[in-house]
Amino acid sequence: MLTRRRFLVPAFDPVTDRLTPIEQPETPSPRAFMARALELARLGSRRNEGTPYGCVIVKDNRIAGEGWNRASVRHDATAHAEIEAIQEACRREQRRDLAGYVMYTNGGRPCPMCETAAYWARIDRIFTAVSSPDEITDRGAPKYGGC
Amino acid sequence: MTDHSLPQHGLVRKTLVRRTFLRWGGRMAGTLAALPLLFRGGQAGADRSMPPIEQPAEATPRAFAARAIEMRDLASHTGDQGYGAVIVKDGKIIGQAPSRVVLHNDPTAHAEMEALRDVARRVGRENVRGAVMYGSSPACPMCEAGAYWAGIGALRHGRAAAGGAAPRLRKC
Ligand SMILES: [Zn+2]
Ligand SMILES: [Zn+2]
Repeated sequence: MLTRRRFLVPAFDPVTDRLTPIEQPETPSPRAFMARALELARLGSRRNEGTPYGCVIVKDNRIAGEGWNRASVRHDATAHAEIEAIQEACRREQRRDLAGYVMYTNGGRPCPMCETAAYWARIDRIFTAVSSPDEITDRGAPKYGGC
Repeated sequence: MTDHSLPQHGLVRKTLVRRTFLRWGGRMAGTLAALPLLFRGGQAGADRSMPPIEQPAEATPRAFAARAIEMRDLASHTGDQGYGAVIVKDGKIIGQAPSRVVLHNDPTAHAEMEALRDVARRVGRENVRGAVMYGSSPACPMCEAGAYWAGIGALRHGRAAAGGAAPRLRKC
């Protein structure tokens, strides 16, 4: 489970010049990935970094990138959870084509900015859940403009 | 032409360091975000260490559109996708960027998104409200929705600064 301490670990360590590894769930499953997205949403908003949205990008049962809404702390309206997660996954995987990766995010459906970003990143599928990791909706492949 | 946007190696490094700083700072506590307000006595989020943007001789839509084209050429020159964007408020350029999709390996780094991030770093989010975004080409739905979220008042594109409508979140 994600703890407060884990949240303080930076994705990038300026001393070693390396990305710190992502803590993976003990038993990887759609439920575990969605639970992580919901947890990131909770923790991010509790820290007043933005609205309660969290997102993880997954490939082969492994979290490749995590993000949460940081619009407030960055003063940047584009810092939605999905955008942050896509950027993080691309940085870690050193690729800008995320074909073969899927997205888990909370809420009804990503906004058009984020869904189009997922489209540009060639993400395979988007899974959403409003509040429970047991109620996951498969939104299919991201659509251009969310249309 | 301002040189701080030139995506040279040093800038990549600087951007990385800045991002790291933002990450660290952000994760420490949300309250830290208010510190710039206290110590700089200015807009929260403002990064005064960034070199100022060189303003065009005349503050006209054509001149701002020309800068967006300059940014586009800058992107092409560095092997990136040929797009540029500029954000203008009260007759001043407050943010500008070339596309950095290839350079940063970031599919979200369209010129318009990067320009919004540039403004966020320079003056904070609140000052974007009502600004005009000039793109070398019409904005894609990601960038238009990003402009909508940021509170951009109008979108213009091309050398002739065509358009002028407010960005829409969804077009369907
Ligand atoms: Zn979004
Ligand atoms: Zn775009």
